[in-house]
Amino acid sequence: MAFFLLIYVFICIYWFVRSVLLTVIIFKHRFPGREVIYGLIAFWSWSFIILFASFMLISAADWKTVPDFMKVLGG
Amino acid sequence: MQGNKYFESQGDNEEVILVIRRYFLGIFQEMIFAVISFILIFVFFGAVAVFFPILIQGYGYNICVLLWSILMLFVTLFIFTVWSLHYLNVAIITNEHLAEIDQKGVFTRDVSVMTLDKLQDISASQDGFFPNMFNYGKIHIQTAGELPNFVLEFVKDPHGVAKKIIEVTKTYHGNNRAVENEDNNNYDAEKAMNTTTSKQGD
Repeated sequence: MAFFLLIYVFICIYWFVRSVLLTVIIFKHRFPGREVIYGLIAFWSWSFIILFASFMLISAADWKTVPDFMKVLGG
Repeated sequence: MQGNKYFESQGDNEEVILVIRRYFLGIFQEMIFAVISFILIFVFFGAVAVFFPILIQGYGYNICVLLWSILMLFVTLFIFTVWSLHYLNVAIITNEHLAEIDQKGVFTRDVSVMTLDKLQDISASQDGFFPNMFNYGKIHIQTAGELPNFVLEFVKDPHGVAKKIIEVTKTYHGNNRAVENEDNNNYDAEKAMNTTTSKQGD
């Protein structure tokens, strides 16, 4: 399971770096007006909702139970 | 962009007449794809929970949560990327220049700027059912000399915008002619004054 978590962390880092780069580029080339602020707030709020939900779901999981999933797969 | 400027070479006293953004239908396909992806993610995990409950027990649950999180984050990032490119793709008409900012990718950006005197011909076109229904289309701008032609896509009311660009160009040429005439008049007046002075000197 640690392997899956590690992959998840790496993917999240990739996602975060790319999102930050996009935000920086948008801010650097932004045009007069407020719509860019609304767009960025929408994106980051939604992303943090997903991350928070994932965190809650992952916290709720029992990481020490015997893996039925592995049994199904023949493990 | 610094301050109220839309592009780097915009003058301090340059007045922005028109900002042409792509019509939202330009990113309609991508948005539909994103919405369908969101729905499919929920349907898929819902179906797994209903039909294969054993798969979401123990480690299966954990893997499902991680997978769900990754998919949701990447669809969100996809929407953000599409919106960013849509936001950063813009054409600007000022009282002196026509600028087209083309954000092709996250790190690829083309900015073409030309003065209005280089503008030779403008045509607007609407091809297809949706462009005619929703009144959007392309504007082709031919430029003088070796400058590349401009093509603005997904422009709302292309004929109206083309008309507006022609009006701005006419005003620009009119102002230039007035300035030229004024310069010529001043030059003639100075010349006449110098001639008079030299005659008086003689």
